[in-house]
Amino acid sequence: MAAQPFKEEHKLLKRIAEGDERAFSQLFDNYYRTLADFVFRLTGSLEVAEEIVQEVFVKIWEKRDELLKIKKIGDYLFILCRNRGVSYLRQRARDYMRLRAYAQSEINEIELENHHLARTERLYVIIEQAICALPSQQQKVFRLAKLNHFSHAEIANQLSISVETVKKHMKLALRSIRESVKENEYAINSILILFLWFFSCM
Amino acid sequence: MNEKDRLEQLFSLFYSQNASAKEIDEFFRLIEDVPNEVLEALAHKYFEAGKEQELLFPSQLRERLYAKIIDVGNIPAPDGDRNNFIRHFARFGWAAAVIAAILIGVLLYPWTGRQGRDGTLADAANKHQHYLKDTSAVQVHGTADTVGSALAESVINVAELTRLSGVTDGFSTITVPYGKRSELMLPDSSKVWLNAGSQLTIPNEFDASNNEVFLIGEGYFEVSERKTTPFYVRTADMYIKVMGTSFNVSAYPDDGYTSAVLLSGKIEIEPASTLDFQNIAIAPGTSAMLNRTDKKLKIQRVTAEDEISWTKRQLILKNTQLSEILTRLSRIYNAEIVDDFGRDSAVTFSGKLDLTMPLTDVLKIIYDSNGEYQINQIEGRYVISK
Repeated sequence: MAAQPFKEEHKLLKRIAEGDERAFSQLFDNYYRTLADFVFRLTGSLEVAEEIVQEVFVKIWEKRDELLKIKKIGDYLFILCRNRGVSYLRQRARDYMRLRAYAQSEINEIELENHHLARTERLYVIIEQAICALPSQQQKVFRLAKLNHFSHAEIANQLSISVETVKKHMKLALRSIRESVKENEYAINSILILFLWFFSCM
Repeated sequence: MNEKDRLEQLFSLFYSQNASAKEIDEFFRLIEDVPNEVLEALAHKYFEAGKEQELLFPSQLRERLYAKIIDVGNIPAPDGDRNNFIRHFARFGWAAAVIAAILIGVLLYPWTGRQGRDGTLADAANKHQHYLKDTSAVQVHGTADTVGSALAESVINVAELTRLSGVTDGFSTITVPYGKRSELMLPDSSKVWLNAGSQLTIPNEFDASNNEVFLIGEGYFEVSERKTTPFYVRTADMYIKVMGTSFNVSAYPDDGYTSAVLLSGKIEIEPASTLDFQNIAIAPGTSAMLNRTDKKLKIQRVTAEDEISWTKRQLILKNTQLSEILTRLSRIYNAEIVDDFGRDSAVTFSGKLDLTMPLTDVLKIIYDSNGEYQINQIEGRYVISK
């Protein structure tokens, strides 16, 4: 069930504007689950849902002086979540396309039977989902390296971590992705072998 | 269908978590050229349309999420909840204490009974149910995140997994996706085989007083003998009370029934809180089958070994209807099977199917008695036609 608006919303917002944490937690409790559920469905990621809802509520707190200008807080919260969710979804689709193009170019070099090719979409999605399921730092490192083609040194610099740590993250990320692929393909076929090879030397 | 309608269709599948890999692929490809406003409008529409549906975001994540907001937003906590309480307590004296004690008693009451605890266990199970669609690997989910993936071939040691996760309260759910099968060992060394497309939710503090599990799908249990406290297997509509025994439970949401088959020992069947039938103990070699339509429980003799043949990667058929065979095969192989052959789906088969064989070969065995036919396989879709 979705959240119902408060009866005395204006009073609650006034208390939040005055810095009342308890009123803020009431607002949070009334809306967080509906919003997080929405972002989760929209982006397909629990982690992203948490991140976006967190960001939105922090923003509400930071801008609490202006809260009283808002007529319908529920709609306002929804729109903040929706815009962030849509932009994440687009980003995810863009990354997926990049991954797909990259994998496709590798596959094209080897002739495959048609019915094997038909399975590749499934594998792209499995790999993409495996990437999305990585812990956030590992994921960041992996995306920068494989989808944005940064060098290990550049990534280390950008994230203020050592090159050794970057390498460690890459190793762990590749291992989990490979395991997901293996787990998913109960029938071993040539594509799988190809992909395992592809991920080991990528 | 034009592109706009197709986009909406794919959006709706993605939003309801029902998109297949192929549809996700198509969806992501379509999104590239779609302006933000279009996606925002779709998001708005499906948010409004889905207002009555169940929330997938687990409420257990509330504390963690709120703590992060307090932390990142640098939000000052109120001046001590506990101090407030003590102040009030002093003012109203013992009367307040008595009222508080009664109130706490009333509040706790529903959770102390078996029925009550079932609520939270069932909640956890329901909250994790979407993982059946989400994951394609055998996975364990704790109160919050994924605890770990396990190889389908190895025995999953539940105590070990929950210990690694460091979670001591709440529940964990083991998800076995379609096309997989898994063997688990519970903390009391009871064994559970989970069939394709099944989930088992167990308390992380699994012990003598807290030993109820919730099953969606099919599982075969070998429960170590208990002298005093029973073990409970809960499903949406049937509770099974166990004193140390082996039995099979099938409770797939998309089947018309829930059934329990006893191989050895003793189990007792009880109705879930929403149903009403007499508790009944069944004997080895019998099954209790609850028909979800008329809510009636039927006890009958069966060859129990056949019912657990799936644990040995076999499917034993005894006058089993074609439609049921195809449903089972599609779960086991995670495939969509389409019978364009036009056979009467009520026709029955008897015999043994070897589930280590590829699905095409298994289907051949079933359809070979019918002369001309062909099987076309595209990805996970098998179409049988003349």
